[in-house]
Amino acid sequence: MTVLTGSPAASASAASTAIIEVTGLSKNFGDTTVLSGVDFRVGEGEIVCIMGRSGSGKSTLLRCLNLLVEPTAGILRFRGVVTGSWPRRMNPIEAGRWRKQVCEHRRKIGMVFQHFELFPHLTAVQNVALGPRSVLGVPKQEAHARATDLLVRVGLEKFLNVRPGQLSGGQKQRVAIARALAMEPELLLLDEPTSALDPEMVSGVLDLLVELAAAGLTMVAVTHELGFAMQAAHRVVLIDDGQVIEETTPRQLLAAPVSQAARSFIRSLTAYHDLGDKTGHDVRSAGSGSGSSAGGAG
Amino acid sequence: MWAQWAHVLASGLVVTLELTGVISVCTIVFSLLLASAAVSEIKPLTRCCRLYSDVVRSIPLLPALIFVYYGLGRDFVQIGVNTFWLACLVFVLSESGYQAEIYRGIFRSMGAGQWEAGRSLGLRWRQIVTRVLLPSCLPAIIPVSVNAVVLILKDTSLASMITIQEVTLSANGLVSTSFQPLQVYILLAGFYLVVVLPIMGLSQLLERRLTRGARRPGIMLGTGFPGARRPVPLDLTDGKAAASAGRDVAGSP
Amino acid sequence: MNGTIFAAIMHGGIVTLEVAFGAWLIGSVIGLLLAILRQLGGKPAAWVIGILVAILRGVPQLVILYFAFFALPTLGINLSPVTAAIVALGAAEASFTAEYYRAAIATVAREQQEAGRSLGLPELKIFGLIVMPQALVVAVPALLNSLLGLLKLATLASAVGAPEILYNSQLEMNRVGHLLGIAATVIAVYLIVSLPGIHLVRRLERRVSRHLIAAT
Repeated sequence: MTVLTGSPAASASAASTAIIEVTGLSKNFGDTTVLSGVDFRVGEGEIVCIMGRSGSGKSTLLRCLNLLVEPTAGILRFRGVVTGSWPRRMNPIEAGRWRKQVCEHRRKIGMVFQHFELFPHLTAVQNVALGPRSVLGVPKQEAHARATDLLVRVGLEKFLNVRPGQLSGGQKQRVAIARALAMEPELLLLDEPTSALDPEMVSGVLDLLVELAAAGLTMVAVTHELGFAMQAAHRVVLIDDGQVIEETTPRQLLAAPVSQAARSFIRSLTAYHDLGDKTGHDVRSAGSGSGSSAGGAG
Repeated sequence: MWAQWAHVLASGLVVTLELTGVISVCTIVFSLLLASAAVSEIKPLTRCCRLYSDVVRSIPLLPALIFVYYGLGRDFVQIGVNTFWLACLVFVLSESGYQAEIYRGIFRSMGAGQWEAGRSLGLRWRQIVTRVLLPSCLPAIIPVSVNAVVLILKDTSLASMITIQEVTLSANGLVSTSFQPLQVYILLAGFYLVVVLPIMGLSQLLERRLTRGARRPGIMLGTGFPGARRPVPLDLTDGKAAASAGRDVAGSP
Repeated sequence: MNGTIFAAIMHGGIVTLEVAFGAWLIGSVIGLLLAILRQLGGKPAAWVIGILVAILRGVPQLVILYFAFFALPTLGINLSPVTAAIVALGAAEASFTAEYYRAAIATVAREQQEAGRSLGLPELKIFGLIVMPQALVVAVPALLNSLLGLLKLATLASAVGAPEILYNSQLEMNRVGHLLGIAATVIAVYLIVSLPGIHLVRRLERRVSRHLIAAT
């Protein structure tokens, strides 16, 4: 499924066509438990935002989806087929086979990192073309043509042969998005894609993500950008202490958070922001917002 | 036979260790002084120290030893001073050039602002060095100094070329009497390893213990591994970069 | 100073260069191989290489040279003084450059590997396409430093009779008797070669560290 060809956005609850699903996911690093018993699924065409305090395990959850981190326990399914279940023991032969399976799995999933992680010794085009060339075996000419195409679509036609060191943060992130898209992934993971950007560049990147969402790309994003969640996400999942504490639509979460943890989290995020929806009403004041004085002009 | 050999080598080893001990202590002290001077804010002083380092590091140790020995050795013997001390002098002067450079790198990357801070408090040069610079840089200085001991120990083998009866010269003697170079030199290597390996292990242990947590890529590359002679002192914090090193972390709340 | 003495010293200098460059090539290439093997070979390889490196680093270069020149013949391997010097100093240097490469690889952030993995690249390709290119750039100042060091270490070859600069100077000194001029010449030669070298390395290190900080 090519992403930028404008297929219509799918409906929110795609229960039977979950692209990726984890059940009973747990992850320990040594003695520290980072995730415990998390169930999470994403349907085709869904946009899900994962939110939580730092240290809540949201980044780890994201990395379990593309197996950058291997779970301690749980089952991972991709399009209904079990990719792996843990705990597991493997002999060296199985381990070799498993490594190949993991690479296969990752090819279907793209990832965008908080700190971009572009390859500094390659130009923008080379960065974007690396995946198709070295992983998919696309010949050099074609890979570069596709890469150029993608970079033009994300608005960087003037920076094709520039190295990351000479790009701004926003530009780097857009190259990073192009790099992930070049693999034609079925799912895009984003780990705080705008957290490391200067404020004036954030909207540029978010605009691009909104565009991709509208074109039907399935996305899971760890982010704090409530505006983005409101505009583009079908669902928001709130994580704290390694567990899912709330899972609703973005509007609901802001207007009427159920749990105490969710309430305090939302408050911490919105304390200095004006939150108006399109009709100019401050969503918070419509709900159970306790007397925060920053009720705003929309 | 091996026992006989070991006996001979052991007495040579004693001289090696004596050399190493004297040279190491003097080198470390002298280098610390040089390095402190090199990071002081007195321009002519820093330039002098850097010049000393650069010049000394350009001149190979063996020629220096041989020229000095041939030139002054006889005079020294006439005065009654053992050539042992002459050798020590040349060693110290030479090794200090390298060691001072390493210490200087440490001082600059870790003690960057401390000189100014000390001055602004009104401390004098000696106080700044002893109370501020050295204590704060100690975790990096110790492993590096242990390294230096290893290097000096290895370099003492050069003293065999100026007739100082250390362990390598003793081994050469054994070879010429026994005509079994393979065995003798393997034994010699063994002698060196027995002394060097524990020290290298100690250095690694110290480094791990003392730099727990702080992962400073600059220091790691420059001074990190035991036996590293020529520092790769990536001056990662060439003064200014201490603040801007690393990523721009907008940070998650 | 007499022309022929000077000529003798210069000819010695050429041999010194030969030894230094030869050892440097061996050291850099073998060191790279060792570093790669260590990285990719898993535990047993790392162990073996670790022991080899420890031995080569712990034994003085002079002793390794004596071994190569005096001991190997008893095993049937006869090396000329120059060859023995190149082999011995190269082997010793390899143990150091292996460590330089290792440190350089460590400076390539782990997140770069993550990015490569997220694309589905297998580990080998990540190492070859992403990690090594970046590591080699970082290692350049260290390798140049290594060459500078070898230019000095090459004088050890005089101990086994290689006609390099120190050996020739000693011959001349014994023959003629006045030490000072000869010593001064040798020292001057080294200063002329090394001082610019040291400055070049320093400048390169600064460039590399700036590159490291600015990258990504």
